[in-house]
Amino acid sequence: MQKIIEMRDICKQFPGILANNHVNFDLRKGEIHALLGENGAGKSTLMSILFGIYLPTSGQILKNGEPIEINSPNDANNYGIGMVHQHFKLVEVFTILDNIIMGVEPNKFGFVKRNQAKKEIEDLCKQYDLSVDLNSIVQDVSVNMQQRTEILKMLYRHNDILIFDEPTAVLTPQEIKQLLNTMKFLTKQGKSIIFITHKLDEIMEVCDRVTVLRRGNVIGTVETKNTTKEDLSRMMVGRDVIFNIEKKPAKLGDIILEVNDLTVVSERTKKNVVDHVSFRVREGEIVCIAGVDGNGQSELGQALSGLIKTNSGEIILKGVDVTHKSIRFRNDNGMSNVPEDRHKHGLILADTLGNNLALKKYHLKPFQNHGLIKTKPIYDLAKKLIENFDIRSGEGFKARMGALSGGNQQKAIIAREIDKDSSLFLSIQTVRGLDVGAVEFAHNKIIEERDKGKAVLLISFELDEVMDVSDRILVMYEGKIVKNVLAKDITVEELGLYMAGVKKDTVFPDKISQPYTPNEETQEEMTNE
Amino acid sequence: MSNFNSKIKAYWKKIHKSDGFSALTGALLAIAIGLLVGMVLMIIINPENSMQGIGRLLKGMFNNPRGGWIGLGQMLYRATPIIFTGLAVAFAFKTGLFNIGATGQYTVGIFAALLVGVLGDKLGAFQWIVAVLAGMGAGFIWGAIPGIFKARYNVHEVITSIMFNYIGMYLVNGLLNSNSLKTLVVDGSTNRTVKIDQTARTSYGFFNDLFPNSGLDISILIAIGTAILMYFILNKTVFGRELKSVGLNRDAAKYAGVNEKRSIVLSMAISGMLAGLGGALFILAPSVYNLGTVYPIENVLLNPGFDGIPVALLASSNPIGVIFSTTFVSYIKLAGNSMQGVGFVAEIVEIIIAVIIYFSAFSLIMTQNIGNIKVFIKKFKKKKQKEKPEFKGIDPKAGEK
Repeated sequence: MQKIIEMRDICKQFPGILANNHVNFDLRKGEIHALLGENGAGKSTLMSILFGIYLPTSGQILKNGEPIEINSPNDANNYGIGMVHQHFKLVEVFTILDNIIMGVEPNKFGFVKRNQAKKEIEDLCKQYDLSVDLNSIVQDVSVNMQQRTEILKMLYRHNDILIFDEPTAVLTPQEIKQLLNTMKFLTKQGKSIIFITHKLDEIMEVCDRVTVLRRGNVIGTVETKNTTKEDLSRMMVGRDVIFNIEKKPAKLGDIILEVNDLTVVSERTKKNVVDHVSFRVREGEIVCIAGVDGNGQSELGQALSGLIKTNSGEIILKGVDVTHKSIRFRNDNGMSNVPEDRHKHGLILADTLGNNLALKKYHLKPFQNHGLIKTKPIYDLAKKLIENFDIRSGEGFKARMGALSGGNQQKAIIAREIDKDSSLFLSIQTVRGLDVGAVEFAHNKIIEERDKGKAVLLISFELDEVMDVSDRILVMYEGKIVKNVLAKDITVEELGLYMAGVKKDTVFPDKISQPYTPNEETQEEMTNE
Repeated sequence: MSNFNSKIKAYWKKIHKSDGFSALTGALLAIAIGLLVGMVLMIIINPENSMQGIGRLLKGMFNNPRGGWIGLGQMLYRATPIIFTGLAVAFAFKTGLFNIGATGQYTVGIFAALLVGVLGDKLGAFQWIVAVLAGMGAGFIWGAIPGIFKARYNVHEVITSIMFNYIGMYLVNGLLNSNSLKTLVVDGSTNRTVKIDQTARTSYGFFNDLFPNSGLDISILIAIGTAILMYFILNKTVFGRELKSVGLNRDAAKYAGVNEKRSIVLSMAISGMLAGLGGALFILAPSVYNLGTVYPIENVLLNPGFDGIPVALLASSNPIGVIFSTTFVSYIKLAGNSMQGVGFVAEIVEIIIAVIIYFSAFSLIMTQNIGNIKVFIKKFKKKKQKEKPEFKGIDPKAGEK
């Protein structure tokens, strides 16, 4: 079949790290080609080179057999290459229509011909079966529709090579299915797609071929029909990955975190983003708050960690009311917290890896003495954590945090928080941007913490994580908890219904957080106390 | 022997790669470019006297008719207040704040020290130290106010601190002209403040013997000590680490448990305190021939406060670096004075300083990317050698395969 894009012998050298080492990659016309690899394997670098964000150190790009030169995203666009970024590049206060035509507005003497554009886009929508409301403002529409807007942006620019960078990370199962169907449909219309994802199921479902990268090298390109999930993950990680996490039954202990009637009012909309939420987390259990992004989970997480103020209700940590206590008090008194936004809250990117690993500890002994910072314990801690958590950095703990790949940054945060040895491990989107190997590692660490008797509260938008790791699931919809259920008692499909707000239950915060007993009847009795 | 060589090489590599090294080479490169621009300018403006002018530019304080040694003392004397304001600006920079209000803080520092220095004669031996502390306190408060606005209401510190420059200056002048103070501290004939009591003046220390009649007093030692102390606080203490984290990423510092609002207020206040200390030591200085220093009541913002900004920039906000950058600026300003003797305006020096600041930002980028520049030049040469059109950045082996 015809090779529409060929990348030959691409090398990209960053300080201290060779991100791409003689990578060969080709995309055939009309196929979906998955790009798979661990964090920091060089996928994003390779695609950034194709999209003109980076220049390769050496190597060549060919389109339809002709060598081409891509120096900027504009060049890429002229060659028909479009990209849906993991974080959408939309102007939030513009309408969808304006976002789609931005930069290529059809105009007469500088006046935008909106009606003409609108008609063209409506035709596109019909042709590709993508429904969007062109007159809505982007910030008011769902993530799902924002993504369709990004796809339409590429189609409107007549791009025929489409790059999707982890597009399913932000969607519900139903929406993922829809997106995968759209992708298949697009290839039938003659588009070619490069699909970056960590989710092997999705690859097996829609892709024709997979190229696996590991530490900057191509491990191989295989036809999907000739391979299995297990093979792919072995190629990617270099060892076997266990998909079904083994875990012992939970041994519940005392209540560690008690949230009573917590309400957070959004400053912007004046609505209750967290709406009278109550729940308990006990020692030795993993509670997972599931839900589609934007239903108040982020605010709940921030309220628990102290980043935003609560409007009513109370947060009790190990019997101490911390509702109005400082963040440092919570940090020092038994709360570990992996924040949602690692760049904004989790890390100081301009500082070194070593200092970031000690970010929550340097004011404690032995890292300081009479207010003077002691560097040796900080370095020792950093070395230990880098080793134990396999944080890959070009220059060790002296590396600038911002120079690490996203996955390794996340690993650094997880390492720091687990090392704190707190009784509550609060983690929001723990595995965002992590590859299967690292996800497995992080999940095992979390389960290890649980087995040590820690209380774990995860807030996750990813159903796989919710189903695999948690002992108990709380579903959040529009700021309220609409379901409280043991993980073994619910299916993915049913969970999806709760997440979408189709089903709602009256939830009693303590119903299932009683000491765990395998017998259903005794459990019922105990809840009546 | 080879072992020794390799050790030196490794050491050199370590130094070569450090941020401090690239900041230093960047600053030196910028200074060279700035001086070059100044010389070219002088040749264009006044070709006949240009050689003489350039000579004086390079000689700096050694133009002093009483000899280079006295000139050296004078240079340090002039540098002292600017070291303090430079430290003020640098400290704020390090903690992520732009304190453009150093001149206001410097002025209130002068005012507070002046009042104690003139009116506090009952304090006796403590008059000097109380005057210094009063200046520091005034600067502390004057810096803290923009900090509070920033921390509580997110008003940008540049706007508030600029405004507080004017508020400070007019307030001080207004108070000096008020009925209760005018008779006590203002000399009506010159419209300047009266001289500080002898007991409140800063001691010359051994500098009177070392650099006689240059005006240099022990303030310079206090300045150097303060710079070292600031370096120590910023780099070695938990307190400094917290202030710096807030500067690098306010949200992450907050998340990590730092009280970021308190840190911002404290950063600004300490910065203001440094400027205030500079003001206090300026007004308390015994000055050349022991005449004492005065504050002219004019509606003009004082220069040393603004000079702090370029010296902090040139030093990449390193407190120790501020000592050296200020010394250089003061050296070149003295050169500007003596250049007037051969028909050049002293403002050429201002142009040179401006060019240096501009290039110090630019050359920092250059020195950090020296590797990339080398690669680029190599590529460029290769491209020229092979005349056939080729894709930029190709490994030549790629085509052969």
